[in-house]
Amino acid sequence: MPTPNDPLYNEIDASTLESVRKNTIFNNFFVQTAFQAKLRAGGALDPFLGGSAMMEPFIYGRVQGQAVRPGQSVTIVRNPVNTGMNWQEKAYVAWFPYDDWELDDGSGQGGVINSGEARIINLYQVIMENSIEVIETMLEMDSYRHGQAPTAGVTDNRILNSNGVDEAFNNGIDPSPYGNVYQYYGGQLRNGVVGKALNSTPLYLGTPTGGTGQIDFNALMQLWAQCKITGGEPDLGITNVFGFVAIANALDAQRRDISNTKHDIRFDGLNFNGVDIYASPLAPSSQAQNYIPLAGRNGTAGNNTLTDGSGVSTQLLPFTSPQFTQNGANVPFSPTGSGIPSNTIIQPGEYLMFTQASDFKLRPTDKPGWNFGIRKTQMPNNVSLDAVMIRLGTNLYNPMPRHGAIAYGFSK
Amino acid sequence: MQKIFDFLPTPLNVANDISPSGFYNARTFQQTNAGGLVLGDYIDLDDAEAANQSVTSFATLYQGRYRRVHVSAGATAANVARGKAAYVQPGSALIGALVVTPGTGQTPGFYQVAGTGGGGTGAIVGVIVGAAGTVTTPPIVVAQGSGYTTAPTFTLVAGGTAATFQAQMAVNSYVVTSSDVTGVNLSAGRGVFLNSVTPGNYGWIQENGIASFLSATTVATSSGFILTPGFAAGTFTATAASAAPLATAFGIALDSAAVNGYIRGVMTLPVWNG
Repeated sequence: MPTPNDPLYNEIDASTLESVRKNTIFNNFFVQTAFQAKLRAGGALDPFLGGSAMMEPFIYGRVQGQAVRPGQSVTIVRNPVNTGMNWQEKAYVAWFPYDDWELDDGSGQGGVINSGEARIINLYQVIMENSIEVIETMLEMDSYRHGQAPTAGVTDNRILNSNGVDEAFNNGIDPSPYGNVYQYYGGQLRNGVVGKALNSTPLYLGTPTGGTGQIDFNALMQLWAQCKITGGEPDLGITNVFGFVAIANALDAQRRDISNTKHDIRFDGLNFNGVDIYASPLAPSSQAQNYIPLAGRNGTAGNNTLTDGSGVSTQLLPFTSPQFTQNGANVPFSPTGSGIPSNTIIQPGEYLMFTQASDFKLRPTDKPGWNFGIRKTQMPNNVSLDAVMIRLGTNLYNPMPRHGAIAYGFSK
Repeated sequence: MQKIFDFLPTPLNVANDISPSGFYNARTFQQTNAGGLVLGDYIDLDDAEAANQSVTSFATLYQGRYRRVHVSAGATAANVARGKAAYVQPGSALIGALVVTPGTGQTPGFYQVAGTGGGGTGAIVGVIVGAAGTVTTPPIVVAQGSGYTTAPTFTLVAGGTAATFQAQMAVNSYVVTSSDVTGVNLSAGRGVFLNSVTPGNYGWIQENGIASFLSATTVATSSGFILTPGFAAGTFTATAASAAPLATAFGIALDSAAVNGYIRGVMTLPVWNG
């Protein structure tokens, strides 16, 4: 143990306190994000009232019909036209140990140390609010990823995570910005019985050799068109701050209106063709990890990385595209129109999603104990320790993925 | 005490604290009791949890049991390092004594006998010489003393042939030291260090599960070999498992050993406490 100063306090320290503003603590870790806030504003909230799973019926086919001659006999048959997708409720929990010698949970029974006039910050409140931020951050990041078990085309296991847009806006053929090809969505096989009903084709804006390219007016129109042609009314665009910069720069170069309008009191946005594009710090990006703690170990404390529900983040990393085929023969580019080259190391660069906010479903449970409810358990025989767990049951999915699309492979 | 929830002031493999709890007064450096972490706490972690509690740029921890310990101020700093052997600090105080030779022809009565040698001071036992002139019951501890690095000796001379006694020293398995310290029981390993901890400070050791061992020698394809520490530096040598079981062994290798390389091994140390 180091030797204390002698005398213990100098004249100044013994007679003068440090200047401190009570009940103020600066957040230099978490960030504010737009996606789920805009989804809620768009009416996506649909509380989960109970059940073994969530089934969303959808139409994928048609009944028969054609032009005929009057008096003609036809064979009347009926083919199935509808089926359903299936999702599970996912569980998110943040936890911490609560020592009532140190902290007071508001009951006034504990907090021998962190209490009274000497308390600058209510540490229990800080930890509780931090826990909520942890859950919000996990949910926000997971909303850009997927919630499937590993299968053909999907390399990472995220079965416990909510079902995000990476698996929604895919066509079962082209790799997503994270390099996965999702042959299933909502448990339903794509490109099988239901054909293209659940397909959304990514738009690759990189070079044929896998490098990043530029986004421009034409690319934005193409992405808009891919949403529009399916009957979508894209009204929400989400990109990282660095993707936002690339878009603004591209439009400015082409003398388009790039007024950075405050479409929301909290979030920066610009409007393109009826789509409000928001800059969100946690949206997928290759660059963001240079500026906020998204990847790797950011400090020796060990807990100073923003993580999703699987302990990783939305950081985009290079991946190798599959060898595309058409009619059984290898082809140099995807046959879907995505522009993705075959068997190439792809630099995903920056990311832009166009979607219709009202298409999504946010499904938090309506049961208070699992809707940011607190479970506190005592440690048996321990004089001061409880475990505190803040819990949320929820999921996020999109029953109409063809109304949205993702572009990637560009940089600023 | 097993804790399934506890305050961890730092990741396990960078812990080097001047108090058991991790909190201390910035002026006096005295321990502040807060957060619930106390000396001797242990936590059982699976691979993912252990990785979460590692500074992975330094090392990744694996599944197993981790215990909050005090590294004795007398440990050799160079040997309190990742992958090196940890032993229980030899007891510094007396908790009992056994009769070795009862003596003969001594004057009956009650005597206080001070310990000699062992590097410490103050240990005293009370001895009863019976009517027959011999010691028939084990001595009682009058004073535990302190500062002993080896067991002191006790001898009663009260006429006749002297009686001699064997000291029993306290064992605090939450206080660990390095392999080279005099008096360490080399046949009873305690665990492996996760990182360098300043002697006198508090940190964590791993005592079972899959640990990283610092290998002293290169032994190709040594998976399944027995890992035994060299006592001078606390590094490990892999020996073929066909040899007789080694009382000093710490574990079974899972990897091939390279000199000054960290290899994984399954720890086989006895359970010291819960």
